[in-house]
Amino acid sequence: MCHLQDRKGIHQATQEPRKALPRVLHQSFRGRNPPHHHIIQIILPRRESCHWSLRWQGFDSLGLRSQDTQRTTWIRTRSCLTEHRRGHHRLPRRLPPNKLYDWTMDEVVQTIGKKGNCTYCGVFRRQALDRGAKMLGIKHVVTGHNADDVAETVMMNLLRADLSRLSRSTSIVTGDNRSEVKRSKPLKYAYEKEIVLYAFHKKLEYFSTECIYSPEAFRGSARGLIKQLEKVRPSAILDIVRSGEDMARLVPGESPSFCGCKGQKAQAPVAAAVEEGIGGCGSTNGRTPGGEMAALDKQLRENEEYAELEVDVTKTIPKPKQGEKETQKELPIRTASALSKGGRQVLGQCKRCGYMSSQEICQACTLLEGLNKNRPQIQI
Amino acid sequence: MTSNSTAGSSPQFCTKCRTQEATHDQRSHAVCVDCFTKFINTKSVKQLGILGKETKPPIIPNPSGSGPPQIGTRRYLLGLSLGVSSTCLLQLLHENCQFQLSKGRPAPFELTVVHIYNDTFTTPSTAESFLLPHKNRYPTFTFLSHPLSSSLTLPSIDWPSFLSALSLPPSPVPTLPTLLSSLPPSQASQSDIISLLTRHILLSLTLSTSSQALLLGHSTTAIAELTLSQTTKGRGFSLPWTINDGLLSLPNLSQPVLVFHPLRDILRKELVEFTKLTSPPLTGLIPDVEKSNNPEAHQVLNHKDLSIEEVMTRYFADVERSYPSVVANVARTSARLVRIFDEDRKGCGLCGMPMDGEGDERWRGELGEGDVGDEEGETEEGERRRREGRRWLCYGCQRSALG
Repeated sequence: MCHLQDRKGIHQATQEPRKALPRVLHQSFRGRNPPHHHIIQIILPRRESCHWSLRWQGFDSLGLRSQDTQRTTWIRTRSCLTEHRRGHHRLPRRLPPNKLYDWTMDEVVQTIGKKGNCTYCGVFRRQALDRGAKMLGIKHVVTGHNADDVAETVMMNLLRADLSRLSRSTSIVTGDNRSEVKRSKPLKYAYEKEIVLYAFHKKLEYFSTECIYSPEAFRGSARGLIKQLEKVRPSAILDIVRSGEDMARLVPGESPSFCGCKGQKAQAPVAAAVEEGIGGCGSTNGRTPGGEMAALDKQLRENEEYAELEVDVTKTIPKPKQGEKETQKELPIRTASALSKGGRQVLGQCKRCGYMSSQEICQACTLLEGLNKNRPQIQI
Repeated sequence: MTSNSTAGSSPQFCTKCRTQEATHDQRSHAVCVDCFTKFINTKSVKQLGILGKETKPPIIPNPSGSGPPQIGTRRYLLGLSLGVSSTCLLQLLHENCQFQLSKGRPAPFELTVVHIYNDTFTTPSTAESFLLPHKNRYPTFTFLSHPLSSSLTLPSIDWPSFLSALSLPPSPVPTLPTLLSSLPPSQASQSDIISLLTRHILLSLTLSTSSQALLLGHSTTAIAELTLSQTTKGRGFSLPWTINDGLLSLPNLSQPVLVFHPLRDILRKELVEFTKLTSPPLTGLIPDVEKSNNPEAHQVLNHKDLSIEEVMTRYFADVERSYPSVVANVARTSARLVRIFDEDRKGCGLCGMPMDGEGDERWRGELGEGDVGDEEGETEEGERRRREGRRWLCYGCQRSALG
C-alpha cells in the first residue's frame, strides 16, 4: 500500500470513486460533453481469451444507468459472469441470435496450433465487438485499457520497431467521423493497481488471467520490463504513456494531430480502424513457428543479407550525354514517397461480410476461409 | 558474443575468407579473427567517413599575413566513460589515424579525450591515474579529466530557476553533494541528473576546445537502451535530439554542437569481443571490465538502488544475446523519428532540449492547471515547486528533479 502512496490520483480510486469515471470520460472527449447515449463500456480483457467464445451465443449486452444519468452499456462475452452481474446491476439482457464465426478459440488452437493464434484471436474478437456494437446501434465503444496496457503497447511497438502502430497506440479515441464505430480508452491514465483498488473498494468482481493459448513474445517481454521499471520508479508507467503520446507526433508521415476525433484532415485513423484488427496484441509475425521475436529476428537477418546484394540501378545506368540520341525509353522510378502517396488505403467494404475493409475481402474472412478449409465437411 | 568452441569436432572454416578457422560469431556467420576485426573496422570507418564529410577542415589564416590561407586539421572531442564502447572507439580512432599516417598522409583529425569524473567519490589524482595507461598508449591524443562539479557554473543550465525549484539559495553555488541530496531520493533520479550534467560539460567543452564534433561511443545496443530508457523517463519528445547524429543547440551556447555516434552500427557484445582482440588487449584500460562484460551477473539487492539505465542494460544484454537483429532494428527505427522544434519556445532549463508545449497542454488536459498534480497530502511547498518547475522544465526533468 505504501508503494502506491505517491501515485497520482490514488485518492480518487480509494476515496472518491464516483468521480473517477466522469473525469476520465471528460478527458477522453477532450473537454467536450461526452455523447451520453452512445457510450458503451466493454469489459473484454485481452487475457481472458480462455473463456470467451467467438459464437454469438455468449455475446450479451447490458444497459446500465449510473448515478450521474450517463447511459452505459456493458458488453461481455462471458455469460456466466454476466448473469451474475446482471442480477447485481438489475439490468436487462439482449442476446443476439446468430452465430458469427462458428469457431471457438479452443478449436482455432486445435487447427492451427499453439503458436501464432494471436492473429485469429485479435481479428475475430475486435470484429465481433464492432459488429456487435453496430447491431445494437452503438456508435462508440469504450474499452478498459489502462495505463499499464498502453505503456506495454508503447514498449512493444518500440521493440518491434513498428512506428505506424506506435503513432496510433496511444490515441484515446481511434476512428474518425467516417468510421461507423469509434473506440476509446478512458482508463488510459489509470494505473492497473489503482483500478484493482477501485474494484476492491466498490466490491466489483473481476478476473485476472493470462492468455493460455499463446504467451506473446513482444508483449510478454515488454510487460516484464515494465514491471521492473515500475519497481525502480513507480511513475514510470505514466511517463512511458506520456512519451508514447509525444513520439506519436514525431513519426514521419503521420498526422501531427493526436486525437482521432480530429482526424478529418488525415486518413491514417481510418486505416487504423481497419488495421487494428490485424493482430493488435500480437502481430502477423506470430504465425511463424518459433516465437514472435525469433521470427522477427530471422526476418531482419535475411533482410540485412539481401540488402548487401542490392544495387542502386539509378547509379549504375549512365545517363546519355547531351546531343546523343536517346535509345532507351526512360521509365519513371517508383520511390517510397510516390508509393505512399498512391498506395494509401481506402476504406471500403468486404465483399463477403460487408464489414469495413481496405481490401476486397476483410482480414477476418480471409482467416476464416483458411480455417474452414481444414474443417471436416461431413458432420454427424 | 561467445567464441565458438570447436574442440572435439573438425574445425569450421571462416565463412568469409574460407582459409582460417572460424572462432567468432559475426551476425550469425562464423568468422575468423581477422574477418571479425575487419568487420568492426569497416563499420566504424564508414561512420567516420560520414563524419569527415559533415565537418570541413578549418581554414587558418596564413601566419605570415600574406599568401593563401592554410587548411587545418579537423578537431574532435571524445567523451570517455572508461567503459567498453568508448574505449573501443578510442582504439578505433587511433587505428584510423595510424593507418592514414602509415600511408604517408597527414593525420585525419586531432582528438581531445575527456573523462568526466564524479568528484563526490573520486579525487582528481585518482581520475588522472585512470587516464595514465591511456596517455601512454595513445600519445598522439590529448587527454583531460574534468570534475562533474564544474557543471554547477555552466551557463547552459538555468541555475537560478533550478536552485529555486529545489529550495536551495542561488548563492553561494551549492556543492554537488548538496545538489544531489536535494533531488528525490532515488537512484533513477540522481543518475539521470548526473548524466544530464555530464552531457552539458561535454557539449560546452566541445566548443571551448574548438572541436568540430563531439564523439560518443554509443553502440547499437546502447542506442536501443537509450531509446527505451528515455521513453521510460518521459523524455520521448526529445528522443530524436538524444539518439540521432546531428547539430544540437543548447541555451546560452554560442553555437550548435555536432554530436556523432561512430559506433552506432556495432553491437555491444561485438565490442566486448573486440576488446580482447587488439594487441595488447583493451581490457587493461577498462577499470570495471567484468561488470561491463556481464551486466546481469550482479545480483539486485534493492530495486530502489537501480537506475533506469541499469534495468535497460540488464534487459538488453538478454535480448542482444538471443535476438541481435531486434536490437539493431530498434536503434535503426528510432533514428527515423523526426525533430520538431518550436522556435518561439525556449529550451528546457535543465536538459536544454526543446519544450513540448502541445504535449504539456494535452497532458494537463482541459480541466485547468491545478487539476493534475493536486495530490492528497501534498504540501504547499511541494505544490509551489511543481507549479514553478512546470513553466521552465520539460516533463522528464520535472520527474527527475521534482519527483
